[in-house]
Amino acid sequence: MSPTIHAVHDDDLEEFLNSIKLLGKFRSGQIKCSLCNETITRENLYSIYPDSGVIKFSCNRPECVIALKTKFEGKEYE
Amino acid sequence: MNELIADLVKILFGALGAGGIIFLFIYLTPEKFEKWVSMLGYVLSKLGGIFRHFHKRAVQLDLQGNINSYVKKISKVIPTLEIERVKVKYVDNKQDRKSFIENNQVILMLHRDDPKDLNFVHGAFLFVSTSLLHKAKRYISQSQRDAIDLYVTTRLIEKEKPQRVDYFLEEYLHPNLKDGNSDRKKYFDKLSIIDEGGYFYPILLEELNSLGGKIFGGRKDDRIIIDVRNLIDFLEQVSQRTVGIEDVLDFQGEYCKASIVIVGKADTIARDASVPYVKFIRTKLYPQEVDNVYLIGNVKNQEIIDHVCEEVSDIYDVVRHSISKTLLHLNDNRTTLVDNYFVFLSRGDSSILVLDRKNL
Repeated sequence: MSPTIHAVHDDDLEEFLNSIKLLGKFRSGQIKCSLCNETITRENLYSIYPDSGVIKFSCNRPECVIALKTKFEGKEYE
Repeated sequence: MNELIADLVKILFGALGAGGIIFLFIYLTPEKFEKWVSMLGYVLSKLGGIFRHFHKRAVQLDLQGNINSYVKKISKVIPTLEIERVKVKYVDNKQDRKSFIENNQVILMLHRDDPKDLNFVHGAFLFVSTSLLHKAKRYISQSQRDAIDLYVTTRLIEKEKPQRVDYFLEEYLHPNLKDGNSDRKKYFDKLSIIDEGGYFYPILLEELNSLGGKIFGGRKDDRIIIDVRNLIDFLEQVSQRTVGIEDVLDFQGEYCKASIVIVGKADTIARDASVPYVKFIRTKLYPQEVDNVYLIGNVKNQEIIDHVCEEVSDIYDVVRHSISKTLLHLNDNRTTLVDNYFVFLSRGDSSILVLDRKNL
């Protein structure tokens, strides 16, 4: 099976966040990076992922990008 | 040669027409087609208005095309590697919260405003860390895994978008190698030495790939981590060995058993041709249950090496052969790059898939 990178484009971000019911929180700055607690903005958003039934976000700080890799390694993602 | 190519193009054009040639190009090199279309898409998207939406497709094909171009290159070096063309797929914007959680997907953000090309850097890193050697990586240590992922991502960016490599080195690599609590830097430096010697892709990644096939599905075991650590140390030594020094080039780990046979001594070859090498493989390596044998020698010894392969073909299969650059350390501390002929043999009863001879 081909490996797949799932992505969301800038143009579709708000529509996607709306569909998962997080647009309001995103716009009001209530969403934090799950790894460093930095406020997630459109500019610093790196990834959105489900974790134990909760939707989490991570920012594009290099430390967080690497730390997220470590987090994924122990789990099965599609 | 140029005339021959021109004639070939004329024949193809006559037989297939312009559409057929384009179709053939897409079929043979889809990653190049993806890169070209992405460049066109970026240009058009800058015009704004109705062309603005071309950016979405351009960034998708840019990421896909560049990663697949690299996948194609390493697949040539390691044809046994279970790595396929990557697909970049946009998430369904209409799915509800419950479906998103159930689908269990990691979503990568692709930005419109991306002057540092982070879309590519992040996509490349995500791809390497989740797809490359995924079987073996479950069983090795965190610092071994991180070092391999960082090293391969650096090489991927160097090959496909060299203008972005400095950014990756400064922002991602160097800060992450500074962590004093991790062996990442130690391993990363060793991988660099192994790669400089020409053994990173054709031997280390091949061995890790082979290891993954053997252990996947089994229990995690610290002995695997020790094996990989020792294998890296072994290949580091081999990469730095001085030409002519009689070193032991066998690696006898718990899970990895590999041997490098250098076919290079001029007087031995002149006197006995392939006989001592065949004897060594039959009487030493095979009884010791060495799974993988790497025959390496200057391209001028290609015929002898091929003869060795034929003579041991009842016990070892040829998985691949290639010509690649290897760094040699000479007696007077000088180094030189040479074209080496390289054959990877695998025990006939091993689990490695041996490709059809016509594909070698």
